[in-house]
Amino acid sequence: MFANPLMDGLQFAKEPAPFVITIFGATGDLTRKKLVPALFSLFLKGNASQFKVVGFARRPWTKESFQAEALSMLSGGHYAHIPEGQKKAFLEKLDYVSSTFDDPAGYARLAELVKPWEGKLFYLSTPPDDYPTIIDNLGKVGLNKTDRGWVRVIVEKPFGRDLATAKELNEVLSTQFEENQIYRIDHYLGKETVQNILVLRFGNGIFEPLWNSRYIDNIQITVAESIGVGTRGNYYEKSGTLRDMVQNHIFQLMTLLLMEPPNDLSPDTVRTEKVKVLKSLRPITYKDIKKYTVRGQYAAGVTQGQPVRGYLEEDGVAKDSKTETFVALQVHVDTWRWEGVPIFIRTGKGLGRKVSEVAVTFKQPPLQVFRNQATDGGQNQLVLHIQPEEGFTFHINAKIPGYTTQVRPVNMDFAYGDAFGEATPEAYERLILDALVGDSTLYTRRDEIEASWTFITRILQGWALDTGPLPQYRAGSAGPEEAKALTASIDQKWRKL
Amino acid sequence: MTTYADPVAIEQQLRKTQQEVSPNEARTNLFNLVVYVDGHDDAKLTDALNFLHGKRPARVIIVRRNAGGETRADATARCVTDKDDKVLCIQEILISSGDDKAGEAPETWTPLLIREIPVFVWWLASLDKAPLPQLFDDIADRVFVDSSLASDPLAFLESLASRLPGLKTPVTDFAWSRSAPLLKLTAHAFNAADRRPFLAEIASVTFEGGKTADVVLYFQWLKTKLDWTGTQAPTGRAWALKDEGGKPVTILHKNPAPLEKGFLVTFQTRSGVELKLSDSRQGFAVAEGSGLEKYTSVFRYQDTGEALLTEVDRNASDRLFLELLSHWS
Repeated sequence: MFANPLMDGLQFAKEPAPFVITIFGATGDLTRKKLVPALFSLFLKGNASQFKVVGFARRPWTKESFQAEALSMLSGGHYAHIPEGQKKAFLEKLDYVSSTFDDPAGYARLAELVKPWEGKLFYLSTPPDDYPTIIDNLGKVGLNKTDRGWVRVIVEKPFGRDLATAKELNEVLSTQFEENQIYRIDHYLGKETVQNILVLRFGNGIFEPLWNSRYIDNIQITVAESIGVGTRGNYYEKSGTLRDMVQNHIFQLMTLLLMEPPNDLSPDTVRTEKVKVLKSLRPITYKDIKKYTVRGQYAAGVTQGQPVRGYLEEDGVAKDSKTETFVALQVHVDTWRWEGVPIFIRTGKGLGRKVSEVAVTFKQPPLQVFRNQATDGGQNQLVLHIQPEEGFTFHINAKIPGYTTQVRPVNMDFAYGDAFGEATPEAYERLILDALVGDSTLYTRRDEIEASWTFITRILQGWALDTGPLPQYRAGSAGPEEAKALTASIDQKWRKL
Repeated sequence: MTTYADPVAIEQQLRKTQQEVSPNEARTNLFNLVVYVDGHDDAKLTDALNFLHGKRPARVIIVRRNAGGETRADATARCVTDKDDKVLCIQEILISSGDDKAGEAPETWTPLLIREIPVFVWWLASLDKAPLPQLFDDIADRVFVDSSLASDPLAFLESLASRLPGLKTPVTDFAWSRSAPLLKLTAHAFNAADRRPFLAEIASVTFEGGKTADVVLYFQWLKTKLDWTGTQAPTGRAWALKDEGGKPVTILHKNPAPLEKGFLVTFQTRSGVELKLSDSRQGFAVAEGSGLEKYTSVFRYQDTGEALLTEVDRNASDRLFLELLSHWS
């Protein structure tokens, strides 16, 4: 008897085997705000018990000072109620290597520290310029592979600035790591509602038969921020909204919405279906740039009741900057399923409200027997709310009580907060746990990255040829007026922010 | 005409109470939970509902048997506001079943159920001669029991198993739900490649601690999964079973006590290997034995509230539990 029949039928939580996680750039904000809290939460929930966390950064910290810093990361707020003993048990698992990213001695010390552990996870939380040096040095000390257990590497965004740099980065990674060891993180995929798109589509029999061009008129994806760039002016100048939001977060949403049903939920099956969507995007060439894309910059205005200065007045922003803070796109997916269904994408900063949502608008009935009624807004619409309140709204039409047949839209609402009381896990918790157990479904594959950059780079090149002024919009508004033309082309409007 | 529990009045009362607590909230309820209790307040029920409170909004109908006097009903709601200012409520309707026992009849409380959401019946009253689960066949989606509360758990489980083919409503046993961490510990303890062969060599299993229901279910799980044959012995006596190859396997329960107070499970193989599983009582369990590498694992018991939350979130009954019952002998 070589199998273990006792395992049959038992439901196990995700529990990684003993592991060590090394965080490159451990003194940065991401470690403070996300990574250490996520690891602590996994520890408290019992998902991680035998592990070590090694911080690797330039600052001359020690193991003790890293532990003291981590303790400050776990203080205040809801951490105040957690027994000190549990924090202490977690902090004891922390260690630190002080080194520049190009110093072989630092990697030699790291190799000693991580050697006893079967599972080794390296988290690159540094500026992308440091990735090649780190990857190269990990390879030199043999930490890119192992005879027993596993070695994986998580790479933070931005993953390239365009197709060429993304390919270059992929090449660098592939010199030392196999593709199945590389986990390109997009924290958007760790959000519950984003994952719930799969459940909504493929866990319910009612939607999938309608999920095609025969019944769907158009789709709007909105990811709006009310705040401006704040202190991130320097960073934003190098990226802009298209790179910062569309190429990664919004395309992840879009592919989950539009992909064909996967045969199973294994990482490669799901990701293969997502790549097919990206490869089916109709290219927007420079000739069509003005027809299918709109960009803009926020000017001074008022958001959330407070005055906001314009983008060009923000710290770290060039006075003649042409970096976009708003993007609206009309894209088409050239597949049998989606032929003729425009996908409208809108995202930006300094807009009227913080909202992330997907609105699927269905076609009118083939024969409108109530055609004497006002039809404005009468199309059925399924709205998936991602932020601020997760849930769904289904807009349907109902008869107003009375002697006449008067129709008006009514809503069927479901809000997660009304049904489930416990806090949803932070996106980073879920994603790190997935990487630890080797589940890469919610991570981005090489061909996925390159397919999305192929589409985005064409737009960037088209914009580079456009020397005209960037449309401005008042902070707190719904974006530049020019964006209205996109939806107006099919007699639709953007949803109200 | 006597009205035991007027649905219109109850709904009005609930609306009024919730309006006071959370005036502008949409009402969401995920399920109905009907709980049968005996006479007095049951601490188990209070603890379980406290655990559920703020996690899942629900309508809970408590049927208190043998409450004396006339059958009567009262309603209230308790709500909690979460960090995002969302209000989650548990609506509680208490039916005190009087001397006429009218409150116990499902017809009294079925009009109070919210339609379109699942109905769970939790029989927390005495399990002896309980009309389970047939009484709720057309009403409930699932029936919850706790076999450890039966005066003779073995007899209760046997009776449940014998009626399995005719059961229309799935039954969930909280004693089984509670044993899940122990089953996982055992499965893991034998999971290393060099330990799996021991499963075919087990000569005896001794379980010290645990209540009869916990241990009977544990033994029945081993018996089912390892293809052992033979019948259960009365409580406190050894079971003489045979393994797949016809060799004898003895299993014995000693020193009964609540599982939370600790346990020691000892496996002896025919080749002389001894493997002991024990609860350190410090949040982890240990598997160790002669010449074997020590194995430790996070170990925490699920209380009834947690078990209840798990079960109301589950769409179907536990396949493994049904498998056990179907192999009962």
